[in-house]
Amino acid sequence: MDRTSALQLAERIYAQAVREATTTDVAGIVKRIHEKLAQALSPMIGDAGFAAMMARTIQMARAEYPRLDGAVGFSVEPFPENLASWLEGQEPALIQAVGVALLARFLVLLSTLIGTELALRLLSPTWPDAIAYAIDSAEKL
Amino acid sequence: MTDRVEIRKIPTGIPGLDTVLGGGLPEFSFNLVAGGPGVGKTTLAHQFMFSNAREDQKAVYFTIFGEPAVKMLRYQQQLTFFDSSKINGVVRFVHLGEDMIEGGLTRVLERIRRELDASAPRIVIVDSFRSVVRAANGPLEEKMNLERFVQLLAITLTTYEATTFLIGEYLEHESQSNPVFTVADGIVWLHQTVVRNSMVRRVQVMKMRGQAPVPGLHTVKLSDDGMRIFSRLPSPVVAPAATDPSDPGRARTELKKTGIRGLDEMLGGGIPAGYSVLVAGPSGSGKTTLATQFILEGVAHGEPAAIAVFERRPRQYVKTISRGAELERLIRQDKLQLMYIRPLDLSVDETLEELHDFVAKLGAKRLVIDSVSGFELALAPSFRDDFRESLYRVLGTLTALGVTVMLTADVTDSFAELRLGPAGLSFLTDGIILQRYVEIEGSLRKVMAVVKMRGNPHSKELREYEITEKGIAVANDSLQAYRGLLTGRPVHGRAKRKGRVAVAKRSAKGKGTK
Repeated sequence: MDRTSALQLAERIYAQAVREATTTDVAGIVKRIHEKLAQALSPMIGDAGFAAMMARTIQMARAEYPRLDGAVGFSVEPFPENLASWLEGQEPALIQAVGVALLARFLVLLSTLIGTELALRLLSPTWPDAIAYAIDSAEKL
Repeated sequence: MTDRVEIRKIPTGIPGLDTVLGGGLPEFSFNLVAGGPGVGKTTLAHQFMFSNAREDQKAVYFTIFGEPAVKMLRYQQQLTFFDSSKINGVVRFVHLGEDMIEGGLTRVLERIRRELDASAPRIVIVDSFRSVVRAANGPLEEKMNLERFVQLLAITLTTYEATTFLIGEYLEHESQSNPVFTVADGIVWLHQTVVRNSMVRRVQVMKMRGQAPVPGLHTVKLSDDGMRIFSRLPSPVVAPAATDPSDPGRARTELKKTGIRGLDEMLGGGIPAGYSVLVAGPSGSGKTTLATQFILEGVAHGEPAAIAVFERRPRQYVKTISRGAELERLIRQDKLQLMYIRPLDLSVDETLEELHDFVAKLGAKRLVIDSVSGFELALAPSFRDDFRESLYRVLGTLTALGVTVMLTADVTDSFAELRLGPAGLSFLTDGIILQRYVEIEGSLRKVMAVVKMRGNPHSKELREYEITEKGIAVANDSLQAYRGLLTGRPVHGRAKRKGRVAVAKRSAKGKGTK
């Protein structure tokens, strides 16, 4: 999965999360997305496996958002505490942008490791519509 | 209520493994796949799982502390049997690492039970079970706990009607003290050995309750298609009665003519069908020529025939041997098959299966293995050590198919001793035809003898022969005029020589050697 496709998928997932949310708290929405991501993958790769991938994702996202320096650090939590507390002090627009960017980077990392087909298959039960759209778009290319 | 429960045998999806297991994996059995790192334990389990997982036979693959799941998925999907469409459908991967860390064996067992309740899988794999054992390998209480855990796990999985593989990196001596080895219904042990610069993998079914696996070590090959097993003994076939030379009451056996008149006379009419015959002689003595004539004679009488070559590629082979053009023509006409077995790092089991399948498919009545020395060289070094035993298996399996096998073997001429073939091999074949050089009248000439042909009367003569464009021509009668032929320096003896070489028509009358 290339970064453009991953970003489009991440935006679609975020939009769905906003629609389903009972709050306008952007940080809460981002956190919820990552918790669902963890729920989809941790049973298979373990909490530690998910946490390692999340830490690597944040590390890579620093190239795009240098201010994420404060969020770097390994955590066994599905949504790292450092990241949660960093998000709390940011503007909603930035939180949304970082949240989408992190998800996109995570998707790229996951598909790099296990292939796009399997990555999408694993996430399909969590976000069936968004994933179906991504598969459909990829097939049209 | 006298009906016994019928245990269904599940095909493993691993070519050759079902034969070795004795028909497949018993349904609901609790099995251990053990061996060192890199031997193919995970591949075996994945291949079994992907081959068998379906809607009415779901699979759960539990990972604990072994290879991280992400890496396992990354590498295993390179194998052709890996079907990602089954994942999170009929195949589920579940990580138990945190359960193990936080709650130990009790928590792991609870989690496994929950997963069994949730999806009722019929196939369960725990990878790596060794990590469970290590985690519990502490004080006595914990060891007891491990025994209890293994017992409970076996009972739980059996009552949930699951066929189970536990995967573990074990060393062989550990089987003595580990409870899982006692509880397991089946133990499949994978080995890996390195000899010189060659690496060989083997599998041994040490235990398989309720059925009879093929004993011994069998070759394992790993490729992009996954695992393939080459059994020490290919699927049994019924041997035609006439092919057993040790059976004194056997029916009169059909004799296969060699196509060399003088030799057929020496053989008492030909080689009994289903025999294995070694043609031994020094370099250039005409072993391949004799074997070629044996094949051509068979084809001329409508018998499917095959030649297995090792040292040279088929095209090169037919270009360099006497009457090669005729072989080439027969190959083009599909009357003869030439099998080239690629050299180096072969296992005997692999070669045996290839030869067995080749002969069986062709329905070959005659087979030439040219040469035994080439065959031995083509093998991985670790198989050369027990080459004699291996060749015994090869010949036993092939002749049981009813094919008459002729093997050529290079023997260094030594006039100090009579060598009947490569060390230790002459005993293995039913017959031996020996070729030698002798010095007669100041020139190097060739003689041939039938040294043995089990249960079949044959000539004891030494006859001179020559190699001509048409092949080998054997003298009509023996070199009775000479004594000490086997010393290489015969002397003209008491009786005058009665025979003449059929082709050369050279008279030896009244002439002796120095």
